[in-house]
Amino acid sequence: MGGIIRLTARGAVAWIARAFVALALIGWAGTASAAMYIGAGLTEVKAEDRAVVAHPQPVQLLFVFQTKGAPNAAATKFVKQMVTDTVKASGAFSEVSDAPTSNGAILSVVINNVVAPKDMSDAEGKGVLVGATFFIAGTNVVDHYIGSVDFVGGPTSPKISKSAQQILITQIGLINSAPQNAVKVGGIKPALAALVNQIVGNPLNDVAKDPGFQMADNAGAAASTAAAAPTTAAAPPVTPTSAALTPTASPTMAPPAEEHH
Amino acid sequence: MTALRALIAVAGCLTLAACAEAPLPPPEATLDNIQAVRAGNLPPLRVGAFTAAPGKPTEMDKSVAVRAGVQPAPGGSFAKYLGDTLAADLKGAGKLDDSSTLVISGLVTETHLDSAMQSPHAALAAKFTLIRGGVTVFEKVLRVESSWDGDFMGAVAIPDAFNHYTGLFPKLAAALFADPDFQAAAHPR
Repeated sequence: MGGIIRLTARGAVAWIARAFVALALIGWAGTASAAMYIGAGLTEVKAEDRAVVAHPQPVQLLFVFQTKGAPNAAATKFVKQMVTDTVKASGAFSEVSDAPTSNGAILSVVINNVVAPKDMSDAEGKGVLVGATFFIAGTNVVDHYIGSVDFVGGPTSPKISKSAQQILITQIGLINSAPQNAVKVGGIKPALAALVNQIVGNPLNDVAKDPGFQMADNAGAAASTAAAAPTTAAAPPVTPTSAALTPTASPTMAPPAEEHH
Repeated sequence: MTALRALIAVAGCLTLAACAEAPLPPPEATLDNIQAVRAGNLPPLRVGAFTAAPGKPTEMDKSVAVRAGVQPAPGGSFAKYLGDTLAADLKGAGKLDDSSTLVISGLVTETHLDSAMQSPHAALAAKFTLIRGGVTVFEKVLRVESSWDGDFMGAVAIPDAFNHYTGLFPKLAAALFADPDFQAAAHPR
């Protein structure tokens, strides 16, 4: 019995040692040979295309990162600041905060890392090939993302929803060719920053251009003016009419990049 | 995720993959739950004690395990995490009031996570109690569950399972906020 326990303990130590070596190798590989590309079909919002918001109002920002539709708390924490920066840079809001705002406006952003089952099995096969050849044989692995932006201008306002899709391509191994229809973006952090900028910035711009958003914008400005000058006539309701509702999303599709082996 | 799978397969050629889960960050409010609070026109609430139900194994409140992976409960208690989830949503809706005499509390009666390849699933249930001025005005057990596609690779299946499990907390909060009996009990008579 004691022998078994000692053998198991030695096995565990050996296993941990192998795990450390593997992680070190992955870390090295990630630094030395992994490159990131982003789909060329979707770009960041150009200055001339940016929605003009005459009277930006404060908004409460909610964000969730999902993996295959399930909330991924760790990734949410990692990406949240990037999303906040993108929303602030849009100029669509006077203030962006986690807390409720006086007008009750909420902007909800969801980024979902979706995977087709075929991509999963392909990825595994490619990974085995790269590992078996000690990073000599290279491959490109595609991750798909859907960015959804929902906005409500107040407690009883209709929801405006827009979305966009984008891909990130991870190139691993030494011998590889650049994927087509994709732009090189460096390592994982700049890739994520570019992804967030595009996949949140574009649907957010679509939201800001929506007639329902513009009505909420105008009503919010009127309410602010009335609040600043209480002796004037009553402010109009801050809730836009349902006629301004845009209930369905109009996804901005990014064409898939070709994979090279 | 796909890239992660490829890297895991690379690692698999060299050794077994280790599985360690990072601590969960505090829960975030969701638009659906805030909208549910708004739709129910709930008055300001205080979040009371959330604990594991008496007689339940204390281990189920401290961590969940899937294959070789262990997800510790934030703050040492998944029941408390449920209370924190409710508080995050109520705060996000502007309806969290620590001085309110209307108090919601709960006992977690079931927490289950199974990453079996053929049918991975998770479930979470709690007995919620709403007390107004010391009088119980609502008491009900609510249960939510989730199932998803399995994966034989532990390093993919384990975080998948934990993501779906933690996703049950806002889902259970949503079930409470949308419950017509809860909404009726929350309003002053």
